[in-house]
Amino acid sequence: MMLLGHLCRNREFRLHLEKSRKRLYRLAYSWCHAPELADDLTQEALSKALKQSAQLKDLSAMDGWLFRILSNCWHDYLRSRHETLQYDEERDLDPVTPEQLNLRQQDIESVRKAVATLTQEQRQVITLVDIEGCRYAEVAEILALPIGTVMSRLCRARHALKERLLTKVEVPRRQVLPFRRLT
Amino acid sequence: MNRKFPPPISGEQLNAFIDDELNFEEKTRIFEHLGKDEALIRETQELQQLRSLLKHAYRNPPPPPHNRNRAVSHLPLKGLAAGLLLGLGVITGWFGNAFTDNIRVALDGSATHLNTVAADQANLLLHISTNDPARMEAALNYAEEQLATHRAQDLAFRLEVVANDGGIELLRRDTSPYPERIEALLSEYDNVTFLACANALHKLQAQGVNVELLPGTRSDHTALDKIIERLDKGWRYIKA
Repeated sequence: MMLLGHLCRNREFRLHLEKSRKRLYRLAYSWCHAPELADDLTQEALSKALKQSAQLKDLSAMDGWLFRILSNCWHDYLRSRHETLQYDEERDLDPVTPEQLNLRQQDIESVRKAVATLTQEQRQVITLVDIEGCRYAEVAEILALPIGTVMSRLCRARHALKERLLTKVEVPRRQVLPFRRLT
Repeated sequence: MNRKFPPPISGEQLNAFIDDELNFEEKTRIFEHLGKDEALIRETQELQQLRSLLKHAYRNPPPPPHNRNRAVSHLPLKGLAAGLLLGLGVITGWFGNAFTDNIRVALDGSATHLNTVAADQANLLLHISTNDPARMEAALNYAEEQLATHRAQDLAFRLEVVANDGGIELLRRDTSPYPERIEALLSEYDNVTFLACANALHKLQAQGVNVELLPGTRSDHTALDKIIERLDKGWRYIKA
């Protein structure tokens, strides 16, 4: 029975790993904005996950575990390419205007450009929360940060994006209606 | 933090509010402020709008480039002593990419290269996913060399050649450029098997292609399952 359980777990692990590839790639891309590098990071993370599968005790925690591995791969890369990080954080991108925001392809690029101007620490937090839908506690665990740091980085990241994407020109807004609690 | 609004509602709290991270009391307090502060409402809506923009912008990232030469990885090589990572191109969309520490192995003097990984056991899985005859030949050369070397040294050894995608052509009776060599290998060695990916065959059949495999070859697994199974057991993985 133990052997059967082990085999079932392995199969479930592999299936989940296969299914996670797209998400890992998307997350890696949101951090580095380079398809080739995102692909490498994803492969690296998958390879490490397979090698370290025994370390994962609870399959239900696999997403966070994979994101943590991916994050470690990303940090390894940044450490090895310090000059790239500096360039990345200091580069001056074209300002993005709200007119560009009707979600056409160029608008998507505008959002990505704006995200790329964030520090990589802010970028990791905001993408984990907004793209992957992670809870703050999960992000704190994935990135090994206190939850307060997660919150402050997220706040700064959103503020910076808002400045860049939403406040350059007055955007036509929906009518502002008071919030109402649903009961 | 950077907000125009003074306490008691901080930027962090407002973000936590739209992310549904607050408890009941905290939410209640913010709802009370939202009821009387139009600017706060506007900022909350902007944060929600921003969240939607971000989600949308990364819903479909550009696909990874195909047919990459992974010998030129963006990631730092860690060296073989670090323990040769598994080549898990396996788990990817379809293996075009055996990633990790890439060792270039010139085969038969040709420009073809193989990526090798996880070399802690002797058994070998040789993966071919292209219909490039040069790569097929290189793979067969390598297979013959490995089989002969292990036999000469009387070492226990098993070799599995797994074909998928274009590599299936190597094992098809109507397309294989090397049917005699495969037949010879199968008759001479009992420790070698040739496997055609079951998924790839189903795809071909769905397209109306009547696939007949070379005698002695099999198609009882998908390439993915087989490669994962072997990697899990510590086999070497080489992608031609």
